[in-house]
Order: sequence, then structure tokens, then C-alpha cells
Amino acid sequence: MIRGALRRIGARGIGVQIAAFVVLAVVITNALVFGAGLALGLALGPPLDFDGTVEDLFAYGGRIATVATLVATAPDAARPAVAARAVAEVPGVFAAAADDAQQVVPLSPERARSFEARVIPRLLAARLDGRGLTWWLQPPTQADSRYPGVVVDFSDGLRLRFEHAGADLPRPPHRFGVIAFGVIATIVTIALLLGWTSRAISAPLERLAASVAGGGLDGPPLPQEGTAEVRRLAAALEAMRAAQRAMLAGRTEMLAAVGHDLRTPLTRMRLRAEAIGDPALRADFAGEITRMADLTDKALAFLRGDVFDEPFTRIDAASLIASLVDDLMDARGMAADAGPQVDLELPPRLVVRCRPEILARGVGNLIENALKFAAHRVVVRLAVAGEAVVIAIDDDGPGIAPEAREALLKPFARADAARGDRRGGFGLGLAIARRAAEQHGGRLVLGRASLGGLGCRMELPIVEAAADARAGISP
Amino acid sequence: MSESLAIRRPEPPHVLVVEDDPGIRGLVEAFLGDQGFRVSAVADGRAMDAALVRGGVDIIVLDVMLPGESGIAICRRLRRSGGPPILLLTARGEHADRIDGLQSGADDYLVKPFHPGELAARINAVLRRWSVPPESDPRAVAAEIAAYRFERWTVDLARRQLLDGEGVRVTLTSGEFDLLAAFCRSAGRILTRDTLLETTRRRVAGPFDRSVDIMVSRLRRKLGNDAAGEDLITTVRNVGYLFTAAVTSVPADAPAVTS
Repeated sequence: MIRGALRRIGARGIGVQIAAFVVLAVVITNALVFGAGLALGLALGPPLDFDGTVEDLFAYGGRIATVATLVATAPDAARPAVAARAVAEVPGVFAAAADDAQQVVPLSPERARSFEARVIPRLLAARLDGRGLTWWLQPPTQADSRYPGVVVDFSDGLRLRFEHAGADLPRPPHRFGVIAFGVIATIVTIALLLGWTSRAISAPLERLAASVAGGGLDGPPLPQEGTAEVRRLAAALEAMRAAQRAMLAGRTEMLAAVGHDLRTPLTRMRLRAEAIGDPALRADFAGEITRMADLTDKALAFLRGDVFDEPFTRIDAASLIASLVDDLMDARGMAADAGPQVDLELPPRLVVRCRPEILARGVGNLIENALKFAAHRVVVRLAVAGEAVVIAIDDDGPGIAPEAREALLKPFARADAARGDRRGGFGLGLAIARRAAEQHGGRLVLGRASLGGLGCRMELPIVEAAADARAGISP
Repeated sequence: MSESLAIRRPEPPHVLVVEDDPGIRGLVEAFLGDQGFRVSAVADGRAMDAALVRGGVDIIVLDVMLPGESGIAICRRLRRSGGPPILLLTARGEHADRIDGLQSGADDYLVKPFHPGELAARINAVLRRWSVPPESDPRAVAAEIAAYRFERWTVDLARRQLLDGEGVRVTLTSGEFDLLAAFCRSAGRILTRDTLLETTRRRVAGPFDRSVDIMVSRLRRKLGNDAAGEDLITTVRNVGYLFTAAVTSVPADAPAVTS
């Protein structure tokens, strides 16, 4: 059970873990010290509930013993005079008649148990025993005094009554108060320690984790702060990141070279295709060659996206989308009337702050996809919904089954069977679009279009309106 | 150069192909020969320089990825010394590479693998643009002007961008941009559909004159009206279009066009 609790605490984070150990250590130490102190104090000193001062008690006891000794040791003839002198000069000393019934009243059980009632007899016994005296305690004449009165009988008919004279000495703070102060001080110390721990140890780690998670490979340099271990970790991660970046760049470079090298035979093939006599066959050949070039382009674009860090720019999103569609329609050329029709629902102008190349590539891929699978119609919409810009592309094609959608967002996933794609491809279109959305802090959602086919929805937090009004930057 | 071009006018134009891959080089040479061009082909920049010294070259078809001096570097060098027009063959469709090519002073580019018919069409289009009188020589214009301004718009020729008064980029298709650049170059003059067609890069696909009309209407939509509420592009019935804006040119050595 304890092991389970430790594991749970261990899983909580360094701050919690250190706090738990500090609390535990403080509690154990305090328990030991207090326990030992308490045991010693109870054995040797006044009990916990004693709230008077020991000095006062001893002064009172000492006074009784001294006066009683002086009277007892005086010569018999002088004794009454010494006693009378003590009654007159020493406060709290009174003459008592030997037959006074009041002088043999026993203490109440409560008072008899008190520390004072237990200590005074011990003091008196040490000093007075053997001097031929008898003495006993009795209730004080002032009922609210904590000290019992003492009557001393000098056996020749002389009796003196002692009372505690004057006010008590100022009381020291109650010992419960001392303990409470100790506990509060401990708690405050632990709280300060925790604050320091989380600042000095966990905060740099948290920041490091956040920048590793948030920055990706191209993020700003990792913070080199905190304890030596955390700094070493940051340096190691930085080195790993650099190595990965280099590997990625190397891979992209290699693929770019492959892509370029492929262009040469493709170009030759395209030129050779001119020698084919049958026009239909020649067109087919040319089409396949173009498609192969497009595929290598697309794969390259996807890989390059990992290392390409395009700056944010203010652009008009409406014209961007219109141009994308127009470019695709232009490329269709003569066949423009044969393919699906594209309806644009755009505001006249919508200024956004985005990475235009990345966004254009992402949205372009979605539109291309829609054109490829649509039966008759594609609708492209651009609108602002709250804080986000929404780009929606709907087609009336076969769509994608809900359970297959998530898988299709992954690179190199394809839904040939589901969407009846016989033309092939690397299945990068949706992955490129999704990454474009993510590179703008947004997301890509696939659903069912009102037209019946696939509905793609890009939600991007890139509205410029506020910044626009604030900055008013002109070129 | 333009004088020699004028003299050679009746003869078929002489195309110099610079391409390191022997297969492509041979095929392009054969194809252009079939199309009625006079063709010579070399493998690299050094051989190209030798061919240029011999003279009589009307246009260079230049591969970007060459061993030794790259196509882009050759392009810049020839631009400075005022050689013949250049059509670049790029291996990558990446936007940045195309802009690189056009910024280095190429007159046009084609992405591999290309439609051979399109290569021939673009060679002809570049040659036609170069045969216009020297005072509006497009190379001279391209070399000196970095941008045009009209109304609230800036047309950045180097980056091929259209920016509005607030510095917001309004995206044009590449055909629309070519069209707008042509309008700015010839503001206040009527441009025929055929002229416009040649300046755009969409010469091969589509029913031609219609595609120009479509592009003009898109351009109108994106530019909106002028300060007085009038259309910036006026249709001249049965002839073509007239760009009515007052255009100022920003020379290349002026401070940065855009922030």
C-alpha cells in the first residue's frame, strides 16, 4: 500500500515528489524531537498543563523554608519575637492560633493533584525535615491563587501560616502555543521550500518540455536554464534536434535529387512520345508522364514541408482561393466544360495572416481531390466563424466512410476502393492539407458534405481583423 | 541584336539548345528542327559561349541544372552583357525556383517534362515579343523596372506579387499577373486580344480568345474600380482592351518596393 502511494506520488512530478519527501522528513524529525523533549520534560519538569512559572513557585517554597528555619533555629526565648518580626516584615507570613479549626482544612482533590501541591512538599521536606517541625498544606485564603497555603507548627504552640504574596510573575507563553508556533513555522517553511523547488527544478523542466513539444524541429533554441541536469538534458535534446534536422534535410535533398533525376528520363519519354502515330495513345502517354511528374512533385513538396519555414504574411484569402481554383480550371484547358463545375462562395475580401505557399498547397490539394472525385459539382466556401477562418470544400462524389477518415489523413494512406480511385497517387493530398492546417495552428476535419460526397473543413485561427486595426502598417 | 534579328527575319529563327543530357538534347534538336527552326545544341555554358561567338543565335533554350556554371548564373551573365532572349527549362515546379529563373532575367520558363508543342509555341512567343521596335524592347523594360504603381496597387515584378494599399497580398494566377504586367507596360494604349494572348503563359490550352476574356474579367473583379468608380480595364469592342489607370514605374535601383 505504501509502495503504491509512493509510486502515485512519484508519478505526479518532481515538485510533488520533493514536497512529499520534505513533509515526511519534517514530520518525522519533529515527531522525534518533540517526542524526546516531551518525555524528558514530563519526567523532569512541570506537566504540560502547568501554566505558572517555576521561578515563582521556588521563590514561594524557598521563602517558607527560610522563614521557618530562622524561627525554628532561634533561641527559645527569642522565638516569639523572631516569629512576630517575620509576620511584620515578610509578606505572606501570618500568625496562626494553634487551635484554629480553619487551619486543618484539607486540600480539594483537584488542588492536591496540581504541580504546586506536589512540588512544595518536596521543597519543604528537603529543607525542614529533622528540625522538629510539622507542616502541612491547606487551601489559600484567596481562593483564586494557584499556590496552596502552608501551615508550619513549631511544636511549642507557635504556628505560622504562609500564603503566596503578591501577583504572579508574568506567565511564559503557553506551551501549546509554542508547539502551534512550531507547526505553523514548519508549514510556512515547507511552503517556501515548495515554491523554491518548483521554481528552481520543475519550472525549467516544464518550460523545456513545452518548447520541445511546441517548437518541433524548427522551433526556437531550447531554454538552457535550471539545474545542471536540466541544462544537460536541454543540450542533449538540442543536439538530437540538430541531428534530426540534418537527417531530414539530407533525406529531402536526396529525394529532391532523385526527383530531379527522374525528370530527365521523363522529359526524354515525353519527347519520344511525339513519335507515336496514334493521337489517342500519344495523349495517354503524355498524360501518364505528366502524372508521374506530379507525383514526384507532391512527394517532394510533402517532405520539404518538414524543413520549409515560410514566414507569415498578410494576404487576401479570397483571392488566394479564387486563384487556386482558376489555376486548376485553366490547367484543364479544352476539357474545362467536361469536368465537374466549381462553385465559389467567397467574401469579396478577407485579410488573413498566414504562410501563403503552405496554405495554398494545402487548400489546392483539397480542391484537386474534390475535382478528382466529384460527379458533377464542387463547392468551395470561405467564411469567418468566430476567431477562425473556415475553408470548406464539398463534393458530390462517393465520399469516405466515417471509420476510414482518420486513417486517410496520414501520409501515403489511400482510399482507392472506397472512392473508386483508379488513377492512383501517393495519398499525400489530405496529409499535406492537414499539415498545412496544423502549421497555422488550426485543424482539418473530414465529414459528409451536404452535396453527398466528402466535406473537408479547414479551421484556421488566422483572422487579421484585430491586428489589422491595431497595427495599421503600410508597406 | 535587334538589327541582326530584323535582317534575318525571312529566315527561320536560330535556336541554341543548352542541355547536358544527350538524350533530351538530341530529341529537342530533332523536334525543333521538324518545327522549322534552325537548331544547334551544346552541352554546357562553355560550348554555349563558343556558339554565341559564332553569332546568329536568335534564342537560347537553357537547362537550369547544368554541370559547371548553372543555368541561372548563365542567365544573369547574359542579361548583363545583353545576349539573345532566354527560355529556361527548370526541373522543379517549385514556386521559388520559377521566380529565381524569372528574376535572373529569363524571358520565359518551362517545367520539365514539357509538352514539345508548348516549347515551340513559347519560343515563337518570345521571338515575337522581341521583334517589336527597340524603344519598347521588353528586355530593356524588364531590366529597369522593378514595380508599377497605380491607384492603391503595387505590382512587384521581381516577386510577381500584387499588393494593395495596406500591403496585403492579393493573389493572381500566373496568367492574370502576366496580363496585368502587360496592361501596366502599355497603359493608355489599346491592346488586342492576340497581343494579350502572347503575353500570358496559357497559350497552349484552351480556346484562346475566350481565355483572355475570362482572365480580364477575373482581373477586373480582383482590382475593383478606380477612385472615380470607373472600371480600370475598358473593353474596346472587337479590338481588345484599354488599361485606363495612371501607372508609375518604380526603377529597379529604387529602395525596396515592399516591406
